[in-house]
Amino acid sequence: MGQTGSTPLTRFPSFSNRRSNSKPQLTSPTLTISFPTPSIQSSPPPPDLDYTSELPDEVLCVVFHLLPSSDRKRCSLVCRRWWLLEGQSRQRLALNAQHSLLDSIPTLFDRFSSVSKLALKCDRRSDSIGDEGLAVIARRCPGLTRLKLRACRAVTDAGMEALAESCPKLCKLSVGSCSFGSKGIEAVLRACKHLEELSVKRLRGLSDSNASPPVSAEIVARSLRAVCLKELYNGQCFSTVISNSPNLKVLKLFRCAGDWDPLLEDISVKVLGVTEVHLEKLQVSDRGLMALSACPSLEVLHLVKTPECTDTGLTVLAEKCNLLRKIHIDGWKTNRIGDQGLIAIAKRCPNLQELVLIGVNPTARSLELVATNCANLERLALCGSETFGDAEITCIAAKCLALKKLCIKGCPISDLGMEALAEGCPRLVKVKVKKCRGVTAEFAEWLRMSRGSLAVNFDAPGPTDGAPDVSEMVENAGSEGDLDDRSVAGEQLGLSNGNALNGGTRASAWKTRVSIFAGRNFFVSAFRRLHGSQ
Amino acid sequence: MARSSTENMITLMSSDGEEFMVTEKVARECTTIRNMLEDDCVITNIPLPNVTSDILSMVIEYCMEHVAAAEKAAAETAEKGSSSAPAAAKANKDLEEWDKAFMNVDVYTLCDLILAANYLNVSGLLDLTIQTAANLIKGKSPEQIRKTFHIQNDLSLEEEEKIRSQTPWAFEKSE
Repeated sequence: MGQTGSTPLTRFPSFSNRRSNSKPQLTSPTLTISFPTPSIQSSPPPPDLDYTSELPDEVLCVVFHLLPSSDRKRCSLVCRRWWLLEGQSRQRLALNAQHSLLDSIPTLFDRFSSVSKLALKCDRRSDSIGDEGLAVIARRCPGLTRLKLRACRAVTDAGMEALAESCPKLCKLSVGSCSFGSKGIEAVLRACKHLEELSVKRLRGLSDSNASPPVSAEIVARSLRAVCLKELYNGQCFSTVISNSPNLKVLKLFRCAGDWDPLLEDISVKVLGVTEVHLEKLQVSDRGLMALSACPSLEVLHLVKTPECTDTGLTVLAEKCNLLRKIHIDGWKTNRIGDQGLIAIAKRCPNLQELVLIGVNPTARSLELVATNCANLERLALCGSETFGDAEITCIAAKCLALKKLCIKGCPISDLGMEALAEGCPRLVKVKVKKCRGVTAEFAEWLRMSRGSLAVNFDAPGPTDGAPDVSEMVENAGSEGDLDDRSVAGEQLGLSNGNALNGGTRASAWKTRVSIFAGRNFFVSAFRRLHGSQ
Repeated sequence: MARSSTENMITLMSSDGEEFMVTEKVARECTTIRNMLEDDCVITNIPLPNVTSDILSMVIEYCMEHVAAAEKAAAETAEKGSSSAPAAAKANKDLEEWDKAFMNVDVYTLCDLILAANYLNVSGLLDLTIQTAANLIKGKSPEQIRKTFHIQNDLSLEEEEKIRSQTPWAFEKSE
């Protein structure tokens, strides 16, 4: 029968029978089952008939669920019934969490009585709701499963404790730019036994390590599947809970200060099932990578601007983590990850589907091996690789038989090498070539003509293009949406939010300086200075 | 449950007394009917007192089309051992096109189809009609929505004002 999906909304709807001309039920001698409901009548409609009057509430609610918020708002103004149903059926709500929201909470939550996904966002200049407001909201939403808090600066650990108490069903918690500390998060971890995803970004309260002690080692978060920490000082106070999450699958650490190797070492002992690890602009070294090699289920690895990670660490990791499917490396042009690491990946990770290399300099030596051994490689991107020339692309074209998408930015390839793509990579559907000065627009047009099924995305470097601008290149790499949109969203923040190590307030000053020193060396040296690693 | 032969014919009777002979397989597309058949295998005549003949004929048309598509896909799979992805994709696309053309009805008929699909529990048709109704609402002002569905505005001006005053609390773009 093949039909799947919706369950019966109302098996025997009790139609309001405003359509007045209903006929008496027919009965027949063989009748074994009859329906206790009046008729659905058909055309022509009476002139003053509300077409929706007989639709069951549940059906109208399903219609509302298919609409975006703006349409839902307009639906609530259609008539009384729609207003009531829209409010009662709305599960997602996003509120402007200014202090003055407090007075409206009762009326708002009378109307929206079944909210399960709530976002409370305050703008930076306004006073946000405080503990009292959060506590009242939490009491009105006992079924809350997802909560997002942004810039609710007046909320303290006490408010988070109240939330944890009232909302035991919470599955996802995301907090950003708030002022409470680790105790508030700990309260949620303690009370919400279903918490699956925790995302903590720019939490001011953490900076004071007295007020934000490490999360108690007693807490074992069995339900926790994904943890994301972004732009934190003292983010290590969550290390205990991360390594106490036996079912953790996804760990993302972006631009958090301090040494993260110890956490990776803890994970390698306690959280063996981890499948996805993102490390970006962090102090992690080969020590951490080697520890991570003890996690055999690892499938996705992003190593973005982690200058202390080298071929040595990557080689050990590749030796053990043979299930790797997606690898993104931004080598930051430090040349510490190159052919050697890639050869190890090629030899030991036959499942590789996606390889993104930014600021890494691989040669045909490693790429040939990748192309030969990784028979499932479908997506390949190279950005700002000084060594990716005609020999390399010819080799890819000849040997990457499964390749579907290829993206090359700022590499020294020319028309000569690109010509190989007219014949090679039989499954190729999309190729993107940007900022490669050796490739001409005429050639791109020729490629389009000679291979009709191939989408060719080409932009010619303008005549004014001087030396490739690294910041621009990295941002472009970040917006490489067709490879892996989620991961790249983080990358995109790479430079524009380069305030990771300095805390949020200095963002604008940082950006100004970036524009003056727009160049890699400044970043590298600043980064290293901050970490005292060199 | 014992599966009867697909050749079994079942008579569906609409509220206005018209009879429709369909194969059991087509009738089973309606979960409500399927449940009845599984409760009592000997039913051959099913009165549907809240579906009119014109709506019932449309529901049957939908079910027949989808049964035929599923049978064709199954036959191709059996013939070739495995279904070829491009052929399956094309068949899916054809069916989608058919659905789209099928939804070219006036709003009143659409609402009746939703009712019938809900009552007979034809999940595919219910999803299709509800999505079509949602598309009719998208981008419209409250007044345009009222006009489309012939809805009387029974909210007083004060109530409308009150509802509007609550919306500034909600972020516009966050969902």
